[in-house]
Amino acid sequence: MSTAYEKPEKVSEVVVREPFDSTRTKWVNRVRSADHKVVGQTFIGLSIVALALAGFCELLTLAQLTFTDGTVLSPERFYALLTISNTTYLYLFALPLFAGLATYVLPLQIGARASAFPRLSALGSWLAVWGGALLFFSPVINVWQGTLQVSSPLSTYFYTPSAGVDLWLVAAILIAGGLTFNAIDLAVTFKVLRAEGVTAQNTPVFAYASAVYAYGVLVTAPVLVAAALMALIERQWGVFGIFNPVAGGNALLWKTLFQWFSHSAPYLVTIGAIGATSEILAAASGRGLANSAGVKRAIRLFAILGILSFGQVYFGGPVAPAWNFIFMLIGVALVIPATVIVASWIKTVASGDFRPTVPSEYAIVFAVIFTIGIVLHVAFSMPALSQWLAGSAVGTLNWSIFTLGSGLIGGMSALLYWFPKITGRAFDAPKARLGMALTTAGFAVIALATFSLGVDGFGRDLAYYTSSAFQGRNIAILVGFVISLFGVIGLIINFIQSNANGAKAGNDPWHAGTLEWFAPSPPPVNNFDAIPAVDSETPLFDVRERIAAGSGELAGSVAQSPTSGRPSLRESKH
Amino acid sequence: MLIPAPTFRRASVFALVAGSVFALLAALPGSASAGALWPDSAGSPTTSLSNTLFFIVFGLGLIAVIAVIALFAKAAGSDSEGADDAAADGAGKSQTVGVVLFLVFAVIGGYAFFQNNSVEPSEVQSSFKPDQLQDKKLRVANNLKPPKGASTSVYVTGQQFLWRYQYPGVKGDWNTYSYHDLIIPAGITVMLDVTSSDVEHAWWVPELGGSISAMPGYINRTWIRADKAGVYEGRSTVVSGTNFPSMTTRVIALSPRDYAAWLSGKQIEITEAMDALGAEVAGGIEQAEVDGQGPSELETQAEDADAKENE
Repeated sequence: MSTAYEKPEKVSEVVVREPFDSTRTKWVNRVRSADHKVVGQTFIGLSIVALALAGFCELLTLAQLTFTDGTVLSPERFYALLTISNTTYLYLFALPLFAGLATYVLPLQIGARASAFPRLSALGSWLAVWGGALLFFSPVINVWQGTLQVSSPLSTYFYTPSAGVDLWLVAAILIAGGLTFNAIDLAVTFKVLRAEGVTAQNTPVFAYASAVYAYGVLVTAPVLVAAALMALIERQWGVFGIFNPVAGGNALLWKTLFQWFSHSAPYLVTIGAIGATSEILAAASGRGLANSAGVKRAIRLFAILGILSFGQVYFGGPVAPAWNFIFMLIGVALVIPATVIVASWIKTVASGDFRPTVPSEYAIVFAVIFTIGIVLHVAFSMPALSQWLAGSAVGTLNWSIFTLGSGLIGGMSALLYWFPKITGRAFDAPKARLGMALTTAGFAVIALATFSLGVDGFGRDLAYYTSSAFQGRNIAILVGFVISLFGVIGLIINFIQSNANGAKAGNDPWHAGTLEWFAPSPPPVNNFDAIPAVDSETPLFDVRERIAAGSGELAGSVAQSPTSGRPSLRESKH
Repeated sequence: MLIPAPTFRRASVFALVAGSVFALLAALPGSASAGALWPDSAGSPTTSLSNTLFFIVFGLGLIAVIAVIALFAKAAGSDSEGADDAAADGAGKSQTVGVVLFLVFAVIGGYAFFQNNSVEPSEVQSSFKPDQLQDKKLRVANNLKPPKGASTSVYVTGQQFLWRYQYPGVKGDWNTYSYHDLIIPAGITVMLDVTSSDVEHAWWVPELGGSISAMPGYINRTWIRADKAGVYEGRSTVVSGTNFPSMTTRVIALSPRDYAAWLSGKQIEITEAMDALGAEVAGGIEQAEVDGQGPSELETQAEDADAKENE
């Protein structure tokens, strides 16, 4: 084997030669790795740990709310825990989960051997971990108590001198910066490193959705970094009146800059879940996704409209009414891509041979949750309704549906689907089914109780309440949360146990059609030695058809191992 | 259509559980005329609009969710119907359905938007004239166009953690103001100029309309109208600090005659109280001089400093 560098003829032949340094420990190797799969696992690991910690914080806040005039937590502690849990759910659980899945699966699905900037992506993952650690370390000093809104000028030094705000802002910069770096890697990989035959038409839906997610992050996350930097500067040198009107600043400016990312993030999470659900349902139906070209266009439109509908935060604010009208139209227009996507899912399941597996059953559950989320989104796009309900608990529900509904139900289905590929083991299906059922049931109870509270006038983000009419439903929320908690804990234990001693899963346990199922489970460092010819969105279905046609040979995948020094990848084209 | 037994069992158990939870919640008593899953019907023209919108949007939404569940159940149970038409078929149809849904909601939303911006003028005859108090340095933005007809106005200031209301149009030495309770005449449009003197707040009385943002540096001009006399509870909806949950407010709508009486009575109260305070302060100074305490320590220090300088 020659050790001299041979410039590859095709980009898809880039090989990551990962020296296994036996003088370093496994964990140091993982941190130094340039393998996109390791980076993806870092993000996924971060999201699971964050979920557990955020769940614990939320449990405490819910305990406080089960009593009228509760005294379990002081308002300071309550808001501190609420801030941490909301921030973590969105920035450290939902976004990193789909970032990690995208980082892991995207290169595999497009037939790439590596991602474009793996070390940049790795840096991003560890920046996000660092930001998360800072956020959870901040109670030692003093946690920011202003909830996820971080509204200005409450967050300026004059009103909140505590260092907790600075910590939150630094954590936000690290996490948003980390996600941006990862998104750069994803976007470039998608554009440049496709195997031959993977044209725009033949791109799998999840790969496309991951690219759209990456572009969305690139457009929105840097603005948060900039805004947080501005807020930090204003906090240190108050003479720069940026957000504090007393010093000449503009309070509405912070809302704009912050919500541009924070309001769009749940929609980006949902895009990841849409992509994953499309793959899962297609695989379970034994066919490609129906109307996949339309679905890809719809995903693009969903992202644009989802980001632009951030204008909902201005409803009821000191802006001209004409803006209300424009943002109403933009928000309501989301119905168009949503209908195309859900119709495609139904058509896929109807016209295929649907096999109910754990991921596919809960992909359908996510489809229902997605519909509910769209209904809520449309309701909140109408200024008259939005102003009326946004300050109530229904506003919290609106946020939760696309953050936790997509992140938890959609994300867990996606994790279950790709679990055999990532770990090489099969998960325990009956236990996973039970875990998902409990998670969904708990989520449903929480959603119904929250909706009922909201229409009754119960405000959002309340540390205590004085009317006992609200107590019953708050207890119901706690009960639902505990049910979900058992479900999630069961799933995590299932993942850990199956990873350790589950049955070995082959390359392709779901009999799916996309390229990642061609590689071994788990894939080696260079993902593929051979890549079959790609002619459609579901190359593996084509391969199976060719085998079934009786030729007996894997036509189109005559490949040489790159380590033997021959650069050419394929010798027959179809 | 053959649905495999386990799927059917699971689906029906799920439907049963979901249906009973739903029914239970719907049967729970809510407040006033609200059910557990829908809000109170209105006390004001703004909320009657929001109420109608609520039922339309969530009603259509409920139908959509049930349709999606039913379609998936049917799709999962049915046998393969031919996978040839992968790309072509669903494309045009679902997009058309989507555009139709968009138009439906856009028309509903647009109608609501214009309705909100052109409400019937109030029928009450009154001699109130709008007389806005404002800080000229603040930016004014109109949130809703007020209806024509009799109207008065109130200047609302959100503070940590109280709402302060200033009433115009009363002759006197002092501003007429009140904290926490907003007194308005029933049946008459009340223009609100909402601002904040510190951090961001939002004023929300559910029975009188949506939440109104109180931004420091801005005046948010909008209007409310209470159709009937009564007491309406409200609160702030933007977290403004740790005491935020107790930042409530109350709107007391009186008949126009009672309102006029209250307003002038309030001005008299305030004038008397301020006069009494002035008298107390003046009396305190006089008493101090009589007791021989002389000027305060600070004044003495200042004189000493001056004396040293002049040396």
